[in-house]
Amino acid sequence: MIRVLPGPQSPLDPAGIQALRIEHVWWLFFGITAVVYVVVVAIMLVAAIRRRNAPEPLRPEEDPERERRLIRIVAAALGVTVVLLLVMLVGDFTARRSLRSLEPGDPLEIQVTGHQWWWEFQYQDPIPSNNVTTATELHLPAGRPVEFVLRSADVIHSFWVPNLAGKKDLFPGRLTRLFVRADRVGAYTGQCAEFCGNQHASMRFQVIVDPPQRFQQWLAAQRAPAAAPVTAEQRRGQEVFLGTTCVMCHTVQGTPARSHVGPDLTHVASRQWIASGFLPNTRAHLAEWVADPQRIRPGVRMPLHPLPPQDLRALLEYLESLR
Amino acid sequence: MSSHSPEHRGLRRLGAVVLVLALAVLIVIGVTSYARETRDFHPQAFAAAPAAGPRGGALHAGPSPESTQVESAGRPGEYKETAQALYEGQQLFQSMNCAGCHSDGGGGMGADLMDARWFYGHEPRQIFDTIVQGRQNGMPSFGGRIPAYQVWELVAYVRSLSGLVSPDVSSGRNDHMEVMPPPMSLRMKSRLMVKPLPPVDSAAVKGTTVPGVAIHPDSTGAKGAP
Repeated sequence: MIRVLPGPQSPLDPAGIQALRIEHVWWLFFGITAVVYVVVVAIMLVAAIRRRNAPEPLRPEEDPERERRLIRIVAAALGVTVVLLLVMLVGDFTARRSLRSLEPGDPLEIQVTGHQWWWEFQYQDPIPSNNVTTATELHLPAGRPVEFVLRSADVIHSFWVPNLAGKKDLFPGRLTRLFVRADRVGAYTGQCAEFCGNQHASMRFQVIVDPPQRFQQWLAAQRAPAAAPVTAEQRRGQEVFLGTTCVMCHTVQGTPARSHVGPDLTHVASRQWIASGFLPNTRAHLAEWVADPQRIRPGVRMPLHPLPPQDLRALLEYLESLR
Repeated sequence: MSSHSPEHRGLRRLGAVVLVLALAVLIVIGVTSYARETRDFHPQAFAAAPAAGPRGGALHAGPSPESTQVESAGRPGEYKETAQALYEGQQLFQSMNCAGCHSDGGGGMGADLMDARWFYGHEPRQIFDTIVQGRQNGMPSFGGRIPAYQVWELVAYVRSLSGLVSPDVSSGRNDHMEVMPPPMSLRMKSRLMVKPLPPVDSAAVKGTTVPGVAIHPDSTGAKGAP
């Protein structure tokens, strides 16, 4: 099938079974409404042009033959409309039904928490110490069904990866579920789809669909505690991290930093994006973000960090060692 | 029929014009006099000037070397009793785990914040110092770890718990255990009790280990009264 709108954030470029079903419904609706539109406009144009040239016809009540013909035409148009609407309704219902059930297979449970204004992902494991928490970057195994358990830490958000599934809202104090099976390896973009405050528009995340083996490697690497600082600069950076505001909000597994207000930074250097998908994870961007997040994303919960330059350098050195 | 005479119609038209003009003036006054709270996205960052070197990792109970720096740096920023400040303060109170000791205001390991008793003073600057410097008997010092503007937001929220802040700026919703403002009678009482209380000098209570000593006699007396 030809892709009219390919891309990493397009519902018309499905990378999974759920998105494929949604795409089918989309094309069904688009096809029917496009044909109806063309037919209606054509009839209107024909009527408008013919009326000008033709002589004034008799009124229907004066011409029983013409009245019968008009009734038949209107009834036929009504019948066609009802049938078309019914086809769309059945298509919608069947697609929706299929989205509500989990694909067969060993499902992976991922807890998604929406925060103002970033995404947290926790990979659930029967052994709690094997749970993996990350942010902004969601890794999925290709071909394996995934059950997302969605919750919100503050206000209503909406989880939307157009290439994988439809939107699903996240409510504070309530769980919602979404089933996804990603089939095509690649990188896709997700986005909050429910207005949630100042930085709603920049509340993005990246979805990376890996072959199952590569996914397992990634998960194993994420399970490990944070790398211990090696160089003197990195050690100093860790002291800065634990001695200033960073420690009040962030977690680095294996250190006393265990707060859950901001994203887990245990393996922050392994991610491609920071600041909820707003900046690529380079040293320059990290420095910019740590020093003054309010300039980059005004209103964001992270406060300013006017650190002396040598402390900032050490901190960056430490953060970049967290692979 | 007299009401349809031209003079009456003219009067009516004049009345309508006056009414419309008056409404317009009222709307203009209403719109222009409405003061919107402005948000400062670049508040003063720190309670203390950044320290020369990194500080240790543990939180301290009571005044610490950092908090003396804080004291010398004063209290930058501005205390505001706005809906924004109270809401942010509420968020910080939960996320920074103040609730871990103070519960949702009712107290536990830490002091009760909903009653009228203030061991170390109820003035905004006194609460600011309590948070930034820490106090004896377990309150850690958060100096250098929380930006000053966030400390002020926490101060506003803590004060609202015992009804010291006008209820019309307090948060309309709560995601955690319901913290009700004290009943009106209690709120009135707490105002009456708190008002005459002289600002407690933290130096005066430094030597005391029994918290009850700092309580104003009026408040304990009021408690026992029927």
